[in-house]
Amino acid sequence: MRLDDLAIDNCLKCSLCNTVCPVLAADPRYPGPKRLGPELERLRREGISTDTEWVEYCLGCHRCDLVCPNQVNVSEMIARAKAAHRKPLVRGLRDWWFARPGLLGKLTTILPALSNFALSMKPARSLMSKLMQIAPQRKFPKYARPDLRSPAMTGNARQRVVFFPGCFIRYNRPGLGRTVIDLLERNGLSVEVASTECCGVPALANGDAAAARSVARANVKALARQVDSGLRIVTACSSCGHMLKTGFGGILEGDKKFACAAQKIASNTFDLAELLMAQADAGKLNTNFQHTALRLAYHAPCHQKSQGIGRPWYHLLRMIPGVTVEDMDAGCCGMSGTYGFKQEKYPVSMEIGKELFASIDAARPQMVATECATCQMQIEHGTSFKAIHPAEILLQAYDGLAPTKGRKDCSIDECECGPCRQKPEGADH
Amino acid sequence: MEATQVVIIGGGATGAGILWDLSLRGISAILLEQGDIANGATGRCHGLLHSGGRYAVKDPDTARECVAENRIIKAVAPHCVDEVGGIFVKCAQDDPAFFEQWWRAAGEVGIRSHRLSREEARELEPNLAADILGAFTCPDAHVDVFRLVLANLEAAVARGGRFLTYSEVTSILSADGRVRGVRYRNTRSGEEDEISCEVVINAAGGWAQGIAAMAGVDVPVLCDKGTLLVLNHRLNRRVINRCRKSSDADILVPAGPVCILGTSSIRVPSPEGLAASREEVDHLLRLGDELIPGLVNARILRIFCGVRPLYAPMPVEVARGREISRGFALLDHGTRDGVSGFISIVGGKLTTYRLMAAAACDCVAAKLGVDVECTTDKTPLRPAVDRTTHHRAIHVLPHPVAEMMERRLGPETDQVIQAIETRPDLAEVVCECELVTRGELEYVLGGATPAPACTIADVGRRTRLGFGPCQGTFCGYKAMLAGFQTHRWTASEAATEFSAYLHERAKGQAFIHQGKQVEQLDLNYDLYGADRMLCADSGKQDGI
Amino acid sequence: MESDRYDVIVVGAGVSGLVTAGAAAHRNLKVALVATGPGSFVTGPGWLKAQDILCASAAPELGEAIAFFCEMARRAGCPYAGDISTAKYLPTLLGDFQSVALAPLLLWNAEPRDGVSTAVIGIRGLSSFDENFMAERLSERARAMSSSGTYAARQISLSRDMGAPVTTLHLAQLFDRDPGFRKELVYALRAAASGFQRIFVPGMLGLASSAEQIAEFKRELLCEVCEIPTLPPSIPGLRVFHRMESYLHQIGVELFRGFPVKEVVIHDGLCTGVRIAAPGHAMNLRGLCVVLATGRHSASPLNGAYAGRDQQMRPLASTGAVMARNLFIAESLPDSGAGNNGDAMRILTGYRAGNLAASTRGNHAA
Repeated sequence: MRLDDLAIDNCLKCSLCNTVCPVLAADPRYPGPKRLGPELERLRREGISTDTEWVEYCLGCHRCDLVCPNQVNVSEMIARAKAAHRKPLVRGLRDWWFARPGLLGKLTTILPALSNFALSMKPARSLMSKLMQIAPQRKFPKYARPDLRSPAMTGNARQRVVFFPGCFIRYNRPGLGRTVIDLLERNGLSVEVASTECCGVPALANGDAAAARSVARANVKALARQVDSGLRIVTACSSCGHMLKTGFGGILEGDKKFACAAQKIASNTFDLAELLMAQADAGKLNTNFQHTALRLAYHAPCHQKSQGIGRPWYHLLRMIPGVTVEDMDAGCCGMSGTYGFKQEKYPVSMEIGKELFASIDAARPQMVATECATCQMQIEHGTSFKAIHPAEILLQAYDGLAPTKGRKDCSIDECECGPCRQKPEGADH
Repeated sequence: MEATQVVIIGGGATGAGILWDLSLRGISAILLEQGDIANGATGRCHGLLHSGGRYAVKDPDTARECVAENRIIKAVAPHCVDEVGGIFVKCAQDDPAFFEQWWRAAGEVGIRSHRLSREEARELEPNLAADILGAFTCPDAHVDVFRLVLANLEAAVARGGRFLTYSEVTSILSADGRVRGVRYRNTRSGEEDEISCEVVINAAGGWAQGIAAMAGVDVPVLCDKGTLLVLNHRLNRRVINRCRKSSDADILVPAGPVCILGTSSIRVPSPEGLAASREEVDHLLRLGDELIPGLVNARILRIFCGVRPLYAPMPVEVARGREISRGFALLDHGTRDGVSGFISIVGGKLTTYRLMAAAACDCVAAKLGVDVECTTDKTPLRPAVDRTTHHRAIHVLPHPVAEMMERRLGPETDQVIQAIETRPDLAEVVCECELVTRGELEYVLGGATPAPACTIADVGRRTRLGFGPCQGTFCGYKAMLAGFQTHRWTASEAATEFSAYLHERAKGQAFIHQGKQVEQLDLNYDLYGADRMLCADSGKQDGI
Repeated sequence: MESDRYDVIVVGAGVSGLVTAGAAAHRNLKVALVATGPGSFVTGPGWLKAQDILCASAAPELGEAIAFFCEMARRAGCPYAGDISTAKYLPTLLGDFQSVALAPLLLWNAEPRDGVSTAVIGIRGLSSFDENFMAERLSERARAMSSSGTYAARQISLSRDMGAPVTTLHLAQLFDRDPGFRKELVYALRAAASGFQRIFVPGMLGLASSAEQIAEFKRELLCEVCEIPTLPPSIPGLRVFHRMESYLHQIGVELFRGFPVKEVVIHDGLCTGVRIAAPGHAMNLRGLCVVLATGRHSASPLNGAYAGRDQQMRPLASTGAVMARNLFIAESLPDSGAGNNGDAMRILTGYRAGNLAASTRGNHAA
């Protein structure tokens, strides 16, 4: 018997999970994690059809799992129900694409300039919102040429790590990938870029277990050799990190060979900040930060919290002289990857983000630091502040450079986001 | 004082079956039950509709009865039966000769069975131990006992039968060597009354000996205690039997969302005041764990004990529980003891309840000179939910909620859906574990149903409210409020009723020594106060 | 490098763990609080029963510990009223009266009062609370206690569509987030309260509302308002938890939420930290001392490998030897089977553990 199968028995019906669920707080009609998770799971095991569209509304933020005093794997149960949920055709098609950001990445990056142009055009966007039920208020991230490569080896004495870039860094922000590599190298680590696929979070979040399983297998194959030779894996995206650390969310269960290798990968995966803090503990962190006058608001993504590693970025940023950091601790941003892009979920997504937006507005920072790309998008969409990956701040602090302050770079005509709405008439983006 | 042709004592499966059978034959009858329906052995068993496999080797006659009854019950009461199927598993520790003996015997008594390899068996039941040697399939099924008894009673009521719960027979009235009627007391109000009749049928199960004594006759009934464990969720898809000479903890039955492991076999002097010992529970768990490794770590929701009322005409000293035939006996006390108009139906088992009822009714019919054959084997107990009602149900309720309601209420779903359509607040799910709506709650508490609930525990037997992991902590409170809101109880009556209910639920968890249910019970104590849960009236019995 | 090392690692954030962390932080220790849940705050309204006080009354520093707890609660913005020598009868969710020594301010003034007319106010659609039931029960119980106070039921309707059925959780979340909702609530309650000296509402006035917010709400109501406990999740209890937790966060306690401690690292009779069961690989926290406040049930990180507790609250091995001189157990003994000793004992042992931790650190420094 799988041990997880008995975790359902731990539920004492205390409803604590419901008190932290962002979706339930935003929409009281949502049945809540307790109902969709352990309660319906008992009946699913009996063979009763419990399919409901509400499972689609689970963000996968894992806040219910974290708050549960009895370690019930609530969101895993909901994820399984999501995978079994039957969707209407259009949403099914849309979610098929959303489940495969790697595929979209590969296609669009053949001609990034053209596709960025097409994606940013108003007709294209309104067509997408009509045909694919994608929220017209959202803008897609720009695609870049996927030119992230392993840097040349510099000396044998250095400790090597494997960098798992994930889709966003690979296809949208290879520059951030180079920042991460630079940061690691300045801390005595030499970096190898893994030739991996998408981590599988988008696939699981879109209820596509088959796609998740297929990328998970590919990733296990790609990483197994390096892990076996004792290398650690580094992620800079909290969702990728979450996925790798949880052994690909348990989706390889039942596939003994892969499950075992996935477990090994899980125990050797480190978040970038976690690794840097480990360097700090070992006295190996390069702390030659230049004075950088910067007032930051930090938002910890849900998938960072679900890794159970404390607040490493918060502590790292505070090591930079001149930097003040305020931890927003204001819940989920509501974006949850592709969730916020979906037309029917856009209102819920924005409602969930309200608390965070208000906290950021009240803090009036110079910019927001958060390591999740979609949290950044949501924060920039819901507030007038620019949000960047904390690694960029850290790297630039070595050279005494403050990241460019101020407005976000928006390149969409008639963008609906906060700063664009505020921008003076006729001003350029 | 009322008059009727027949009084039936005992509201278990047999008594309910007799009321239905008599009603079909046009004989007027009143059933008296001292507690709520299925209060005795019926409500405290696995709910296993035997394929006959368990008795194939030792007791071919009983096995043949089971084979026939299994088919009949599935045909006449499909809504009460979950046709999960079953397997007999050959374990490495057990006698290999018995396995082959079983196969031959099963063929002889007519059980449809296939032989499975270890791999095939484990594919069907992935949680089975890796070291099993093989298995046979059989048409075992799970029967919802409360639903079955209710279905019989309701069908009987529709044809003029009557039944009274919480009505304890205090004496049997007789004159000139002939039974004339009974005197009974309502245990909730304390009021007493008499019913005159031509025949009294003693179908009181474990209490049959006491009832017979009221008429001055001796019916030797042996009380054989069985302890059963209710596990929080289904670990198996089919009924899993251990293929060996009947012994402890060799049956695991999937029953709704839970599964039930049992049982033990211990002689007890009386069907009341049963308790399970820690050793007994550990013993059952250990044996269960041999079949399903890891079962010992699964959460136990509840532990309950019931008695098999075995008819033991031989000296009780030599009779051991499992050695006595599971066959039943019909005793006509007119010919046996010179007390005419009084018959006892004893022994037997849940699977053969209909057959027992038929035998008793044949005897009664002959006495009353009614020449009508038994038709309970051909008459469906309850029509299925029609499609219109189903569509209306899924319009106002989430799909699983509607499905559960239809299973529980059958055609009565229509009335609840009608109520929900006019009052949408009735669609609220009150018992979240078993998906019981406020509509159902108010329906079973109200007067519209033929078998209204008197207590919160009665609500549970009719809807499964409180049968989930919280054991009524949250839904029981809401049921109490519903009883108050529907003017069934005053506020203080409701509170007293709830205390008694909490206490009754706590008793079934008190034997659990470890694991999450202990924490659950502690949470319940935190919420309501341990004193409130433990010090209430302890006269009530615990059922599942 | 010492930057990551804590003076005290507290495991568990029930009332005992919170007090331990608070007591240690007040002595300027660097504290980590590792927890997965809020202990009994999710079920109970956060009050201290008179019998709880009785359980702990043998301890000389009980008064001091309770005073510390009350001060911590006040600073956290969830003030308590009452003290260890008096008791009041407060309504329970069954409409009984419970003898209580200390309670959050919002619950404290709900005792039966002679000559006072109280409105028990329900909210339309909130099915888990029945004002008629409560008013009828409280009237009866108050009469039985020879109080001449009267209770009447009233119901208010809130105009907004809140989905059916309404839960206290949702009402509390609205109360926290939406000033418009608070206004509407005040308006409706004021109308229902006219002619009464006091109103009772189900526990719903915010999951994290501060003393100021509550005070403002009370001012606008123009009459006394008290909360009555409801089915879990207990809003009054969770409010105390959330306020206390964020207070600890403010005074510098580092919170590690979400994963249980799977191992207490002990070398040669000295505890060096804990291992948190994070996904992938455990997270190591190093500390100069560790306090376990995990309660009776939650899987104890010591795996039952202890036989008791010495005077200094240190766990003993089966040989009778102290397992580690800087490891303490607050709360009832885990898995000891000892009954529920109540919150006063939890506060007392938490306070003690916080102080012991401080003295341990003093020894280290020396």
